Amino acid sequence: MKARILTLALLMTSSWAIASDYAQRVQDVGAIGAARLIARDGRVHSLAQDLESPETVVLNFFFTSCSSFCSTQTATLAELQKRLMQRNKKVRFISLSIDPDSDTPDAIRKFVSPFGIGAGWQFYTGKFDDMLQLQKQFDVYRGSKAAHAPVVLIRSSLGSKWLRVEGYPDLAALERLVVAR
Amino acid sequence: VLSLKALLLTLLLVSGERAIAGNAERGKALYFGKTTLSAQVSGADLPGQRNACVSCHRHSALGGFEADLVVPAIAGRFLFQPASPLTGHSLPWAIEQQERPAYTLDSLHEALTTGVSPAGRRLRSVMPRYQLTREDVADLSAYLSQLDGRVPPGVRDDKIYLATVITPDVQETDSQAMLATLNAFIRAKNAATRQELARSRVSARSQQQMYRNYRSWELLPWRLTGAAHTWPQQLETLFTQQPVFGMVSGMSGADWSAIHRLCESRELPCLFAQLRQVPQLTEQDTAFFNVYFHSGLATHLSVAEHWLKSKDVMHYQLQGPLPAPTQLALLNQNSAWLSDELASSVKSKGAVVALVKPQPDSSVEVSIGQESIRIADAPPAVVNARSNAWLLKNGLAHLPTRITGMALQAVTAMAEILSHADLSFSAAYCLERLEHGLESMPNYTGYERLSLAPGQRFAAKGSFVALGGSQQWTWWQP
Repeated sequence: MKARILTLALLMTSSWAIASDYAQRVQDVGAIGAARLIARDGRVHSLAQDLESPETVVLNFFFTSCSSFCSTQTATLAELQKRLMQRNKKVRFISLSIDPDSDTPDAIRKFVSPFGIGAGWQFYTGKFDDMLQLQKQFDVYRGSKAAHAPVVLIRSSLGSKWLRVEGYPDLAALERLVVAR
Repeated sequence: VLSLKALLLTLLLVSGERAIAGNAERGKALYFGKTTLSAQVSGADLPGQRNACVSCHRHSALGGFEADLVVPAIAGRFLFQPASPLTGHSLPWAIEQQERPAYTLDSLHEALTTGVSPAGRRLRSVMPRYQLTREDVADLSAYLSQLDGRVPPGVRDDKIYLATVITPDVQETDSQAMLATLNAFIRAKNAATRQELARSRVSARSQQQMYRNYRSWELLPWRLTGAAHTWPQQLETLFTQQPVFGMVSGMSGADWSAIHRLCESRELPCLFAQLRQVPQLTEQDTAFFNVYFHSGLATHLSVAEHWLKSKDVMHYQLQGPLPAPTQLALLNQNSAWLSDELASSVKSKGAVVALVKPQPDSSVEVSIGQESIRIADAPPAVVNARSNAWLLKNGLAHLPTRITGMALQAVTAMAEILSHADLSFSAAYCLERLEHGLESMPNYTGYERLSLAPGQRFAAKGSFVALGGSQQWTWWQP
């Protein structure tokens, strides 16, 4: 009997854990510096300037040789982008490399190409120190790229705080979070 | 014996209604993404090029730790056995995998298509849900069951054999500096191993779970002789006489491809040889078991391009000897690289053409008129407080620090990856740990940063640059 209760408790715990496979909180990020970031076409951009736009922004971190969630997260965000376009909701997507030593614009183009990504989504690499600073500023730096954190950040409009979504939200949950804001 | 084993596997995979004999070759193609699959993840499509099993469960099929995820080992010897929290020794073991019955063909099909494990638990949402037929699952099972976890021949019950290769062109003082470093490290490591082995006898738990993979190491210096075309045979003979688990460091100014190929065909982790040039490989060669410090010319040329672009120079010309395929590849990939005739025609029109000259010592000189830079893969002397302290303690501080630092890095990396080895001493799994772990290890070399990742086989991603004739070397990344 005791064993059976324990099993039940474990099952309940695990289904609860699945139901909340992500957590969300408001995050203060502070002013973004003037780092020069490099886009897939090799052009120089400024994240600070990108963020001056009034649009909703969805931001995440990735690296091209990742062997865990980078592809699944990118796939989910790609589908999210399609759905938002269908709703006529204009959202800017930004993905920042945490392995700028290897993630050249060329490597990033190769990584991105299968996902069918629409306009309005920038993938950036840059100088190692600049990309490290950004990881620290968004609180996703965990000591090495293999220890990266599964985080999607959503900023609803210019000047608003970021919503930090940590974990593995499904498409429907992400869509709710972006549209609600 | 093999066909009997195959027969047994087929019998094991008999499912509810009918037996399906899996085809391991087809299963391997599925596993490595040579045959693409349809899959969904978190409600979105995961493209075929990004959903192969190998992307997360890795070459070894022993899984890994990345981010906050534990990607479980799925080699057949784990998948088709009941699992407990103690299964798999040091291998990644996810909570969904704990206390589950052995997978059958049916329950594996169920897990892969719907995401429910045989224990009734939902797999994490990052595990894709695949569209797979029962035949596909049988093929995959057949492949995974082939991975039998035999301990490689270089590992004995009491000892791990390692080799370091020295080619005949290497100066004796240089190879002595490398060997002295490797031997000092291994002496200290073996001294500590005696206590670890003693501890393993303390309790059933320590015998079962801890200290089981400690072995003393023996380093074999493999000195090749004669012409390079005889090296493959020499290496085979040496390996047959005494198989090794892997290679640490090694030294050559010549073509390293024979050693590279031995490591790939025998599946030996070969870590950080000290080379003048990267091995001359062909399209047919694989590059999984070999890791190197630096890609040499390839990175130097990227650095050169980077510098020339910053100077607004639009045309460059190679001068001097370079392997023909590299020349051709450059001319094809980037129109800024000019053939000799094009260069003279462009020059006659008054345009600036920079000269890029590969040097015999593997550095590259780049010049625009009077202005020039030199690009090299390591500065002549390395000042590294970490390795210097260790060298001093071991009485090796008088040796060339570039050699000793690189040797120390190689042997430390071997110790690091062996500390993660599972009970089968999977060489692939060890390398996968290095891909993730190198970045966090102490750096004893002159390189600015060392890091690897799945698919990355060169740890240093930039080169050292000195302006004009100066000896001030700074680190540049393209």
